[in-house]
Amino acid sequence: MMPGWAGLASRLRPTSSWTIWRKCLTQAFLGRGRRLKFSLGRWLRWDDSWPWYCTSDGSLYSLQDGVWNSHHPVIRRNRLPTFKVTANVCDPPEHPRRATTYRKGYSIVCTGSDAFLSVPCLPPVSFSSYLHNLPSLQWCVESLEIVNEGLDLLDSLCTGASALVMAVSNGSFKDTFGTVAWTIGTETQECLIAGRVVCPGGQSDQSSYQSELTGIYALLTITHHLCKYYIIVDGQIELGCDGLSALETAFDKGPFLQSDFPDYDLVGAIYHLRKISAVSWTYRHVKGHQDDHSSDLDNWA
Amino acid sequence: VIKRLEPYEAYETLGVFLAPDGNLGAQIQKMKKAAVKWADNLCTGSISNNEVWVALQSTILRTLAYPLPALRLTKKDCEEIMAPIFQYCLPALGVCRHFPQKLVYSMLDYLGLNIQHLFYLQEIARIKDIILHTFNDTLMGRLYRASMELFFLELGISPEKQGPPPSVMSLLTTPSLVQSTLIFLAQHNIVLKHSICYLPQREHDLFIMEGLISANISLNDLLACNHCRMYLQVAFLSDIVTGDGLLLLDDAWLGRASLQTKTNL
Repeated sequence: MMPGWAGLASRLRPTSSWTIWRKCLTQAFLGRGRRLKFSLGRWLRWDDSWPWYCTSDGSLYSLQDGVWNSHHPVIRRNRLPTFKVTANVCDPPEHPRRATTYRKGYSIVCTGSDAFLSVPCLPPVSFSSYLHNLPSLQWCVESLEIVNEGLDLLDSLCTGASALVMAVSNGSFKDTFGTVAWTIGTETQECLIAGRVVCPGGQSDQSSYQSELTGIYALLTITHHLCKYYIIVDGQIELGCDGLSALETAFDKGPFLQSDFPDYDLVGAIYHLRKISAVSWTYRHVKGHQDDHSSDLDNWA
Repeated sequence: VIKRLEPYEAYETLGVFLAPDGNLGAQIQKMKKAAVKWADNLCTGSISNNEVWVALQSTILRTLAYPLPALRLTKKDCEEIMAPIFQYCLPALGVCRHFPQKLVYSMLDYLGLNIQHLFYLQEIARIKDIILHTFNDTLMGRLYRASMELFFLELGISPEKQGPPPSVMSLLTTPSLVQSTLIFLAQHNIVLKHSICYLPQREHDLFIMEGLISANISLNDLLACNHCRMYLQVAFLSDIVTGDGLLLLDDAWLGRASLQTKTNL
């Protein structure tokens, strides 16, 4: 438990204290103008949440959700160089220097940068390492197979062959233990990304219904991160599952949930992922255990 | 039926009156009432010195000591609660009712009466609780730890170093159980070892409040600066300085809270 600033009650902006603040800062830290009496040195460590970086050649980069963007210069100069707000995705820069900036209209002004004391541990450069570096998703990506770093799936989603992208999950439950296996692929290549998950929660939380919901959640969350990593803004996926009740709960109910709803946490997370998903989802019920009843199995089975 | 109470109204839970805003008025009244009632009841009877001693130690002091770990009474509150007890008790024990309080609370080794001061009982009980629960990582321990982290964040001074004087601590931080304990520890020069630390981000970096205190800023100005600092959500000098470490950021100077000037803790 590390509450940070969120743990403190939000403060209203002081009205009359800023003159004192400036006077005291000047007395304690400042020399001439707003220059410090003593300058601060290099940055000691990498901060994942910091978005702005420079390189020694004067280029400005922003880093968001593990993706590097390069900003084109508007005015190149030593002091307060200016860059465009719009940026292009690029490879991670060599020896990034942490920078401070401010926005001025449609430009970004860099107020200064400094190097790190040691070589920083840069954010992940592949989709699989990106997924494995997400602490909240460890339980979901422990057993994961990704073909060609998800680029084939990206290709299928982006080429407009939307109806072909299939996501299938199947949950199981036995002796208070729930597991689920899922796969995302196309009709021609059934397994582009696949995974196996042990359902979260205690023994009493487990059920076959929860296992099916976990599968749907896993499909939605991996797809969400794929879209985030590769900046996918459009696409369509059809989700197949043999748990009709879980499918109906995930796709037909909502958007509001009662707190006494069974598996409230998972269903809530599924609703949220559906809401923020860049791709649109349809679903189909796949009759389970088809091999028990028929010799002809369809693709979904 | 759930009864609606205002934030300042206390509700009795497990024998302790607690109000959401932290005021202890109802609990102090309850303790004072218990002390007066106990003294009245014993006044009307006739019991020996020894029986008065036993009654004091095994009844009213136990009653008063029970809620102490959940409270943050001041020394004055505790003495006001104990006053009616001593008014009756000291003469009944064969001691002058104007016997010096320092001797009343002293140990037998120092020829005192060996009656423990409620304030010290309260603080010692809470220190024991903090150590026990944080060591065992119980829910209570985690709450104590979180509260302690917030205390240091609000104080804006390194948790690892010797803190500022107790008067500065109480001025800059919100009253809480942890605040009471940490001020008590500072007053008595006791060090509580813990693992809370906020790491500086740059070479030569320092806490803003440490810099201000060492510049001999007055208490009122310190309070005003801390309000501004809390609004900006900054702790280190590096949070309000440009990336090259040379100049103060405009946002910090003008009092604009932004992502740039926010300590990531």
